[in-house]
Amino acid sequence: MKRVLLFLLLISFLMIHMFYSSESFGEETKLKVIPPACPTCCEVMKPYPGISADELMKINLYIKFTKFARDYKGIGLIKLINKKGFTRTRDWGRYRILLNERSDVFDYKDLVVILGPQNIKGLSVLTWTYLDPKKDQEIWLWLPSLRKVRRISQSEADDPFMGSEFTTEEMSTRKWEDETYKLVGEKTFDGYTSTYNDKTYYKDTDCYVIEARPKRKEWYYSKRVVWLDKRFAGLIFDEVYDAAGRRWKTFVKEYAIWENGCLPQIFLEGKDQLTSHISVIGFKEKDIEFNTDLKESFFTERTLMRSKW
Amino acid sequence: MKKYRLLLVISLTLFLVTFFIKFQVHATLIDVDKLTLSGFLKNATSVNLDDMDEFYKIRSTVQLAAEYRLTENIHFFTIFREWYDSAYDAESRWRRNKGNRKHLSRTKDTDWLRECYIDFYFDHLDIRIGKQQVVWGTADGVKILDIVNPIDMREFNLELTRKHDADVRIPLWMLKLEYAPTVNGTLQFLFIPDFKSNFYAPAGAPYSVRAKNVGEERLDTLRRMGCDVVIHRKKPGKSLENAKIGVRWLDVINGFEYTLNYLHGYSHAMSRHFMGIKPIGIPFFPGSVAYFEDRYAQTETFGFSFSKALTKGLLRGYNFRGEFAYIKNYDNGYGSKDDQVAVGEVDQYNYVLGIDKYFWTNWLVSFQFIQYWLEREKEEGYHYLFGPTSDVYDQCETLLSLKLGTDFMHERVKADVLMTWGDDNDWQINPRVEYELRDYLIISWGMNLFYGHSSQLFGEFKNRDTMYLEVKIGF
Repeated sequence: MKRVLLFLLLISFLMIHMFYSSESFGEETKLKVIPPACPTCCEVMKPYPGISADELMKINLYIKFTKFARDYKGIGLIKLINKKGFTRTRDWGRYRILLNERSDVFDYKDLVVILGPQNIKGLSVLTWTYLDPKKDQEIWLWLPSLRKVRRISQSEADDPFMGSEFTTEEMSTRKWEDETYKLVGEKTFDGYTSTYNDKTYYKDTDCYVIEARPKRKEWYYSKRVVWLDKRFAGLIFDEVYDAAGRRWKTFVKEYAIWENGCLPQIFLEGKDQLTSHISVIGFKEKDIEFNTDLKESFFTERTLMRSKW
Repeated sequence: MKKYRLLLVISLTLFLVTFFIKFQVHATLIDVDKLTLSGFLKNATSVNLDDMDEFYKIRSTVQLAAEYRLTENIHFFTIFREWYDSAYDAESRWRRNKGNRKHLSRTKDTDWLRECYIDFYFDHLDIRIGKQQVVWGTADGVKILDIVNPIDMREFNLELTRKHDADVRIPLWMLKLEYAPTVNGTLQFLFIPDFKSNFYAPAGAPYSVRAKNVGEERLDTLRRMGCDVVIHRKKPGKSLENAKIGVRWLDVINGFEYTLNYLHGYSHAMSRHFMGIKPIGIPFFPGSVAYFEDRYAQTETFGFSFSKALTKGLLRGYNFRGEFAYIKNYDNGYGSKDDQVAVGEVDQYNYVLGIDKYFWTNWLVSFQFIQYWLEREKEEGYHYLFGPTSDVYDQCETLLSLKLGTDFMHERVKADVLMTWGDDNDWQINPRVEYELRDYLIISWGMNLFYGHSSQLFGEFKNRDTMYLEVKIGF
């Protein structure tokens, strides 16, 4: 009898183990990370035939937050353009260290420094993002007019980022767990002609189309229709529908596909279809670097206090 | 001489800007890629709300800042600033005291060199040597731990309410070391051989505090009695032994940020000691002279500050912060209202607790609870007197402040209001709107409103409600 019980216990244990391990085993084998081929190269995570919407969005966020690299540096600009063409420009530098594979606590740390115009030159935002999706970010602000570091709480997720069309959530705080995803199908993207530079992006590009709906009730958008490039599953076009179901905002994002596996985002245009207000974020490829061995100690208040402006 | 200096700064500004724009390709003396220039021209005009042709300020400022990166790890930085306030030409009422125009209408002494320092960066150590400002603490609009640099209070606290804290601090020549033994832990060491006192507007100026006016009236009374007044200013010499020493430890543990602070040195606040009347102690006596001595007490300050943003749970999104300072051996006058008998040494305990939270997308609500405690209320049977008002200092003075802020038009328009309440039921309300007309052109409009009894901190300015307009062109 004891032997039978022991045998049943063993079988149960093995079944439970196989049940749970098969899920993670399945994920690991399907969403495979190809390690970097050289010290300055990037990891690669690619879509595969039959991939689910959930996994596609995981790859998309992996690319969005440059998790294919150990760290990132970029200098770019933000243009805010109203429908009459009046333009405001902000020059900025962005630094990021990816800690998700090195830390049990932090996902990544991020530093944004405004380089111009004069009235906000020096304004810097240090952000620590936790691995725990339920935790908000820790944020410190260097305010040039005060010459002081101020701790701030994460602003409301629907607050426009630096006055742009992009909300705080769209720029940095939206997590994979915040939405539900449904694969609409595989389609060819017709292309998007930028209002800012008249260039047509991604004409006749094969895409995965995903419908993403926020889990939060009565949120500022009802759904997004996300177009992911089939080659690497990065978001190239995003249509945001407001709470009333109207097509409200569109975003187009351009990537540079580097031979070393890195996928920098070099152009992002957001357009409010209702007000025709446009926001553009651009980086020159030459001003982008990956894997420069930035140290975690760079992402501290000490760096903010180095600011002179 | 001052005109020449102003011309020199303007010429230098124009020359460097032209040089930077036109000759950057051919520059050989300096590598212009390593040079960053920035600056602004600003005019700030303020008028009395009840009498719109009474000007409180017509100040024009020119500033040029330059950073030169000698190497990746050695940076040089300097700010030149000159300003002129023509309110003292336009308004004879502010010239009641002879020195006011001289002291208040333009940049004084070497203040045109606002900041000037060199940075050396190493893996675990940052060194900054030169004229600079160092900021401790987290409070808005009040100074609890932010006491390393003296302050310029020519406009009372109005620059603080306008978030111009950097302009209120008077930079000092010092050495600052930041040593980082851990990822987030930093030990700061300050060595400050320079000394400057706080600057308060002299009596009769638009925002001279009540204590200054009362003190000046007392001296005038002596003069009317036929007694000369001699004030000896006993300023600490600029020497190594008089140097101020500061130490701060900063760390972040599980999102809880704290600092431990220590500062040793002469206080920036002056106390006036009556030394006697010679020859026989009576002011009416022919040839009598009243002697006073302005002294700066040597104090020790122990402090700490903290901040914690709650990132999950019921209070998610709230940011809690606070700072505390214990000042040992602070010199404070005592006596009865408007009549200081002597100066005593008394310890002070000051602290602020604050809560910040964003509501409704982009509305910042920030609340502060502030208290100033004296170790004891009385000295030799007399009450201690509250510095700015010369009124009786309660053992505990309490202030509450509430700030609301938001933005409109894609952050092109920013608006905020700071309301501060004193426990004697006096108020200060400072609404402000800032409009970004162009990237380089900012226009600000605001008001300074005061309520309360004339002997109270805010009430003393109740007839000096003002409205102001600032125009700033950056380059």
